[in-house]
Amino acid sequence: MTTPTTFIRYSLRNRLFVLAGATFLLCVVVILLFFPLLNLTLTGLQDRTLKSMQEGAEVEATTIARLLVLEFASYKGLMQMTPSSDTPTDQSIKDLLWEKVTFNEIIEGIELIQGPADALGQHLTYMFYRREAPELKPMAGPQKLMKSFQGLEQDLINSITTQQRVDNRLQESVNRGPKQEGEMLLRYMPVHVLLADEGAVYWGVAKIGIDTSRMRQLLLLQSEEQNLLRKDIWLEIILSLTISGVLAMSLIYFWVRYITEPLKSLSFVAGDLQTARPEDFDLWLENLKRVDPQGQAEVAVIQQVLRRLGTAVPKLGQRLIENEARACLGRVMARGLPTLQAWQADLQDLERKLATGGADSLLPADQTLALLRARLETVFEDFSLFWSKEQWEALDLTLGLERAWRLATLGLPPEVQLHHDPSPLPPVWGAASELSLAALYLLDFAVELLPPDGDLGLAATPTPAKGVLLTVWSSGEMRTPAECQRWLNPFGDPASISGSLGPALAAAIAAQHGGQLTLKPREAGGVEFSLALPPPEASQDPHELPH
Amino acid sequence: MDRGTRIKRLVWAVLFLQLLGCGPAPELPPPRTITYTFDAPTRDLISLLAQKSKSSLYKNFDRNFKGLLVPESLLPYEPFVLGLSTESKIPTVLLLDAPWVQRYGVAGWLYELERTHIFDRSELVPAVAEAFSVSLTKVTGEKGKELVAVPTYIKGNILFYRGDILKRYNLKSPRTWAELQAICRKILPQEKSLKYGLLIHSTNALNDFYPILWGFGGRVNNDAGQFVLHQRANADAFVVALKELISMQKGIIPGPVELKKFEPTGSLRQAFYRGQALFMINWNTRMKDLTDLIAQGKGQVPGSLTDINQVWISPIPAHTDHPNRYTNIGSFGWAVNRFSVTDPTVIANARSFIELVSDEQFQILAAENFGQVPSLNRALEKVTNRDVGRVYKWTFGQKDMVIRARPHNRRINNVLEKYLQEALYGLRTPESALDGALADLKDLTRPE
Repeated sequence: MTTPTTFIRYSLRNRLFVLAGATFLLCVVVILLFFPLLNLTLTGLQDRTLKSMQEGAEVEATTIARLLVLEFASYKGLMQMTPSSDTPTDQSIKDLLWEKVTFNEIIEGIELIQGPADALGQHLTYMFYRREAPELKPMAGPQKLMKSFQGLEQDLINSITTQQRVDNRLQESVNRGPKQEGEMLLRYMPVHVLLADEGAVYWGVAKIGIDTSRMRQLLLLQSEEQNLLRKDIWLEIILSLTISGVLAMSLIYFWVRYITEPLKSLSFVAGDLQTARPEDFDLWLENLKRVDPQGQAEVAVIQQVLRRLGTAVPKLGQRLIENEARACLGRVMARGLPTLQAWQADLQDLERKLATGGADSLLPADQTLALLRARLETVFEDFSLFWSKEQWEALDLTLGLERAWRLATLGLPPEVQLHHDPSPLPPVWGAASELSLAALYLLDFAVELLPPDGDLGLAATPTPAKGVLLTVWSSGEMRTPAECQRWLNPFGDPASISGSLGPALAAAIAAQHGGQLTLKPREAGGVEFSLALPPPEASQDPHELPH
Repeated sequence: MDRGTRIKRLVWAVLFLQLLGCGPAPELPPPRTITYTFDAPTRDLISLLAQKSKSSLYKNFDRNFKGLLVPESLLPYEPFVLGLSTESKIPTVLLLDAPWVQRYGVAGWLYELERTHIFDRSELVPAVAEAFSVSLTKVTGEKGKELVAVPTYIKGNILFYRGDILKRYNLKSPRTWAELQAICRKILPQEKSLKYGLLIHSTNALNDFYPILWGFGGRVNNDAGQFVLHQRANADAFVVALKELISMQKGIIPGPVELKKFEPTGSLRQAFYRGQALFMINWNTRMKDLTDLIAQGKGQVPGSLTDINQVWISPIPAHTDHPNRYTNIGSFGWAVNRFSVTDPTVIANARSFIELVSDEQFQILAAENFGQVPSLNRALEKVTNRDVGRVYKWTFGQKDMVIRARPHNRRINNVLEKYLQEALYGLRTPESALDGALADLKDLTRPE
């Protein structure tokens, strides 16, 4: 389950940046998809234009061809033309073809093909082509000849002759193939000669070549224009995307920063709580108050809740400490109660004997009575120390440690080996009752872990830095560092808080006094607490002074 | 009102504004008109209907349809052959004589009307619908004949006869030439006022001869418009029919000398009006002319017609063995130029035009005013002109009547007319006339 860890690694701000960036990239991709669509549109446009131009050219060609055919229709002399004739009419037909082809740029050539063919399948034909194509030799002039036609063209001419109607599919097929006359659009039309007494009499076929170079030029021009258009649009869109990208990312950066700033500040302040020491709590609360929600309802709500929690936590903590102290003293009292009761019974027995004069002790009765009373008073004095509220001062911990040791060991089984080696200690800065309580917390906790025949020890030694190092240890089961850490920080997993909070509270008291509590498992089993306190001058910093 | 609600309302308002007409203005299509060949009778009838009818269609006729006047000088040159053979889109609708319907139809220049739902063939008298139908198999690939023009009336040559005289002799109208001759032989000797048994035209006699030839089983052109007179059966029928006609010159029809009398226009109907002939072959529209002559009483002589009921009509007789009798149709029909049909609008406009000019009230008006026989079944049922009803009932409505168009080729008609005249005037024998005609038309007899 690494995902949640990875997930919470990114802040809301980073996420918004990434999402905004991804959204922008998506938009860019969608906009870039415009190009294939543009290409399709332009291709479609080109196709439609091509088709429209072809249709236009064909209509134009048909119109030109029709005009010529209407003119040929008045040439009655055509009806008398034979292959061998050489009359002025022959010449006038040739002249007419020359004029039409020579002076009309759009007409590439004309053939007048008589309908019926001779025995060899040849048709009487008048023809003239300009032959502008470089690979073709120019014609000497209009010609009259017997000409054979092949393939589809022959079929088309025969079809026109028999039906006097143009089969457009054949005509299209003829136009699609290569033409010996050169590149041109060919139109075939029936020629009827108008005779007053017979009407429109079919004569043959007019084959008219129409120049298509203009259409090719237009197509080329259109293709170039489209390429230019593509390039311009591409450039404009890339430029627009770049500018809009920079603009968008700048604005998004600014807006995201602006929007997430209160939450970020709040999260930083809230995060400080994890590392804040108890003495920093007021400062943390002050920092929390200073977070500006900038009108964001969510931030304001969280801030308000945190403030309420922040106000409640110290009070709860204080109550917790007090209750834990009472609980600790209660446990100590409970352990020492049999001993105290025994002492009380001895005391009452002794007082009765003294009253009756039956005392037979080795010690004088009044001395024994005094000793018992002293013992009880010592216990009560020891207890009273932990209920007192003392001012902070430079103090010698020896007395407090003695009292804590006495209370903690009161009522322990006789099999328990006690190790207390008092030694002179340098003074430390603090409250005697609280430091003694810290020692009691540790001793009480150690007693809880102690087996019936275990070892319990307390040592207090000066440190090289002129501070004090308090060591509490007990024998027992083998413990792990993680277990020791949990004792120190029972709130790490709030769901599993259990047992005594003594080590944690002792650590808090140590920290309050500028010291530090460490805890480690002993190699022989059991644990060892080390509470280090600094010398007075080191812990007297104004910031760390108690309120 | 919260912000979200305001935005929602704004969006709905924008959407509804489109519906309220605040959207882009719709593009109006440009007005479309179609062109048609202009003719005086149609124009007259349209003007009459525009005055009488409440329909705005006739009043706005010129706004929707543009008439093209064909100069009379061009008519002999058949200008539309040039136009349509070169795929001209103009005119959209043409008024064509029946032979030209065949010519244009076979060439594939006319748009099929029935399959394209421009006109329903079943509305027409079947015989006349057949005359305006051609095979378009070569063009459309569809088998069978297709209606390519809508006739607005039926005109054809028929046999007029003195019904009062035949009734008196208790004789029926002749179905065959033998019966006609027998009637003539019986009545003529007894009716001294009757100079002729049968009158036929001496000029344009070919129009009268075609139904006679068809009644003998002969054809000049086949259905595809190809010249077939030289084929044995047709050539024989031609000779037999001509011989029959010439044989009747001995006492029944005018001989070579008297034929000249009938060359002037109207001479035939005048002779029949004056009671000189027992039978006459003429266009059915002569019924109205005779009615007018009787009404005017001009040039009346003893024995002249005094009542149109004396005039009876029947189809031109046929050969005894032939099952059908024929008429040479002289009707015109409206056809659609195939090359002008470039989009559905043209078809819709053409349909609208043809509906107007072949409309029921249009035909009834023509029947009442000009004595034209309607081509629409509905119009025929409603016509009140008794003579028109009689003509249809006793001629075009007869079961054995076939309405057929003469060949369109003027050269063929001119050549045949020439040799027919020579034969009737006794200058050639029927065989010689046929040989001469075939020689002149030799180029048409070559196999393709």
